This record gives sequence, C-alpha cells and structure tokens, in this order.
Amino acid sequence: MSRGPALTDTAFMARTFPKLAVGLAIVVTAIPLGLPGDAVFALPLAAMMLVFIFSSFKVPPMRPWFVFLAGLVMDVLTAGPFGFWALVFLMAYCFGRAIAPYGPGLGPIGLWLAFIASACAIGACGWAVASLYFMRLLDPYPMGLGLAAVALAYPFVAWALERLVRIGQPAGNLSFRD
Amino acid sequence: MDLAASRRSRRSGILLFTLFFASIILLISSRLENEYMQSARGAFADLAAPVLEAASLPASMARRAFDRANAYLALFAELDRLKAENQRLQQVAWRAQGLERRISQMRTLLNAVDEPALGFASGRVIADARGPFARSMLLNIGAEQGVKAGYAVINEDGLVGRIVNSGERAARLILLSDLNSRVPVLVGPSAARAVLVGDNSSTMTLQFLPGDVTIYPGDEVYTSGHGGLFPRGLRVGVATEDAAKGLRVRAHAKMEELEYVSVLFFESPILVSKEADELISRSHSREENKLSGAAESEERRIRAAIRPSSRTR
Repeated sequence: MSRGPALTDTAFMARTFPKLAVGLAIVVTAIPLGLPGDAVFALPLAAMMLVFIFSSFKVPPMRPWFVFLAGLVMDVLTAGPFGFWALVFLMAYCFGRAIAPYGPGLGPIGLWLAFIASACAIGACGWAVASLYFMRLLDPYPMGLGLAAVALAYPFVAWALERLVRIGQPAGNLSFRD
Repeated sequence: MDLAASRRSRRSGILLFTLFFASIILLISSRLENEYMQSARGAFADLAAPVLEAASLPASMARRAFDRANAYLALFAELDRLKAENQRLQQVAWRAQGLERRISQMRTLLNAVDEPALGFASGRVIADARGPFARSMLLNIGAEQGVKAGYAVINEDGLVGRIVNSGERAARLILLSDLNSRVPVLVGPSAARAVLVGDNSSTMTLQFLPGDVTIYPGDEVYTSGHGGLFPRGLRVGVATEDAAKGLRVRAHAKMEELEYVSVLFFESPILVSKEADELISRSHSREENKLSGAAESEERRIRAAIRPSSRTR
C-alpha cells in the first residue's frame, strides 16, 4: 500500500513555501533593478498578487497577521507611510478569501477575471488612500501600468504556484481547485 | 460543528477588523510624522541593510554584465564619439585654465575668503525604494561614516537628492523626483531663481519662477544654495519642453541606474549655528562656576568641531 509523500514535504510546500514566496517578492521589490520610473508599482503589486493567489486557496497558508506584517515590511522597504501596503495586502487577502468558496466553479478564466476585478478595486482604493494621504490627486498612470502588468502575469503565476504548492500533496487536500 | 465554524469565522472577522484599523492608525501616525516611526524606520533600515546588500549584489552584477554587453556592441561608435568629445574637452580645459587664472587674480584683488573644502563619503545603493509615495534609495553608509539627514547626494552626473534618514550603517536618500523634494535652483544664463519640485514622475517641475523670465529648452539648472541646505552650483539638470506638462526639468543623473553615489558633508549654516548655540549654552551652564577662561576655550573647541571644513575625509 502506498503511504504517499512525506508529511514534511507536504507541510513545507503547502504552508512554508507561500510565506517564503511572499517574503522573496517583498525583498525583490527593494532590489535596485533599474526599472523605469513608471513601472515602480509592478513589483509591489506582484507581491499583492501572490497574497491574493495564496489567500484564495481552500485552506489559506497565511494568517491575516502574517499578511499585515508582510505589508509593514513592504512599507519600510519602499519608504512609504506605515500601513499603506499592509492595508493593500489585507484587502487582497479579503478578496482572495471571498473568492475561495467559488473557486472550483469559476474555472481558470473566471478566476482571472475575478482577480482583475479585485486588483482594479484594490488599485483604486490604494490610489484614493495615497491621494488622500498627500492631499493631491496623484498620477494614476503608474498604478494602471502596474495593474496591467500583474493582470497579464496572473494566469502564468497562478498556474505555476498552484502546481508548486501541490507538490507532495494527496489530491483534494489543500487546494480549492479539487 | 457549525457553532465552532461560526466562532472561528467571528474571531477571524474581529482579527481582520483590528488589523485594518491598525493599518489606518499607522497611516495617520505616519502622516503626522511621528518621531518614533522615523527612528523605527532607521533601526529597521540598519537591520535590513546586510540582507538587502547581499540580495542586491546579483542584480548589480547582472546589470553591469548587461551594460558591458551593450557597450561591446556599440564599441566603434562609442570610440568615435569619445574622440570627438575629447577634442572638444581639450578646448574647454584650455579655456577653463585661463578662467581659473583670471578668477584667482580677481580673488586676490578683492581679498575674498575661500570657501571651505567639502568632505564626502561614497557608498553603494543597496535598495531601491521607489514606491507609490516615495522615490528613495537606501545606501550602505550611515552615521558611522559621518552621514547625517539633510546632506546633499551627488553622482558623476550631478545632484541626485538628499539624505532624509540616517541609521548607523545605512542611510535613506530621497531623489529629486520624489513628491516631497524641493530644491532651490538657478535656471539658465540669467540665473533666474526657482524651486525645483518633484512629483514622482521622471522629470521635475519649476515653481516660483519670476514672471518676466523666459526659460528655453536646454537651459542648465543648478543649485542656488538659498536656504543653506545645498551648496551653490551643483549641476542638477536641463530644462525640457513636455507637450502635455509644459516646462519640465530632466535631471542629469539617471535615477534608474544609480549604483554609487557620494554624500557631501555640507552643513546648513543655520543648523550649524543652532547646534553650536545649544552645545555652547549647555557647556556654559555646566561651567558656570568654573573659570571664564575654561568656558571660552570650550566654546572655541565646539565651534571648531562643528565647522564643516573640519569633517573633510
């Protein structure tokens, strides 16, 4: 009788890997990659996309406090006001959790559209908070560009992450797609 | 079973609400520029500096390799350009030598006081924090190397920004393009005064230009030294015409490609005198009962220690 993969592999890929992936995305945001000025939102929003993807699993591998702390670290590294990325990540977490029960019914295209709608709402809220913070209307173009980039990247990233998280897992254990 | 799930859901809801609330409180505190937050940010930057330095190395090496590959591809065109530039620079150097001699003679005639030499420390950019609110970068030098908040930061092309926060081994600089950046400048051959204002885009705008001044694309922009925050005469950028935004200034320094920068140890005269007065008054109160001669020597010592020229590295 097959006993399946080792429990440690399962625990690592299902629980630790998502946290490491979000942490890595946050560190990459801070590395001087020489991106053009208008593309500065792409990397922070990519970290937000990871939070959304992992939160939309049936059993979320991250707790809200982890999402909050990850946002605070992002705030420090991007030299923004404390709380901004924490707020954005928490919104992504809430949208991800709201979509989780409908995941199996939506299918890949439905999930993509749900992400685009969620990202637009989060982006609009983020832009409004930023404008309110500075008491002036900020240029929405960089945010729009960042949202377009993550919207295009979502299907590939979501597909790859889902397969990575499933490594060593029995079918129907953690992912909402089953 | 349903009751337990309902309890879990309620607990999760309360936790989420608390975290959202905490985020909003933090945002408001940050807006009010709470000094504990600033010091916490500095402390975290110090902690994160080694990690970011290690993480930025591969990116830095990859960028250098990419630049080198591009340079090889354009080697012959670059050689021709450099030859032409070298010829032009030789003429400029010859003219500059003549001007230097004339300035030196005139200074002697006027008995003018020499400006103190500026000290500096050079460091590497280890983190690029160009987020929605800020265009800033983290350097691998800090208070240990003499870096303080307010110091101007330059690279080989010109002014880059200024230090806003300095930890022990890391410092944060805000770029000229940052939303909060304000630099008093002089524009064009008429040296019209203006304030260079960043708006988080790749070019900057000029505010408070006198109404009767005409600025043309190509006019040089350099620091005026007004307000005492920056030394006078640092190269900043060049005026350009933008179809949508009107008159803009493009910085000479390429903000996206910054790797090594230098921090100028230029003390604001206002800050220096304030700092000196505070130290002197403290020293006076301590020395009140001692001999007046001792207090005077202490005053002289403090004034000498705070003078910018004494910080030359």
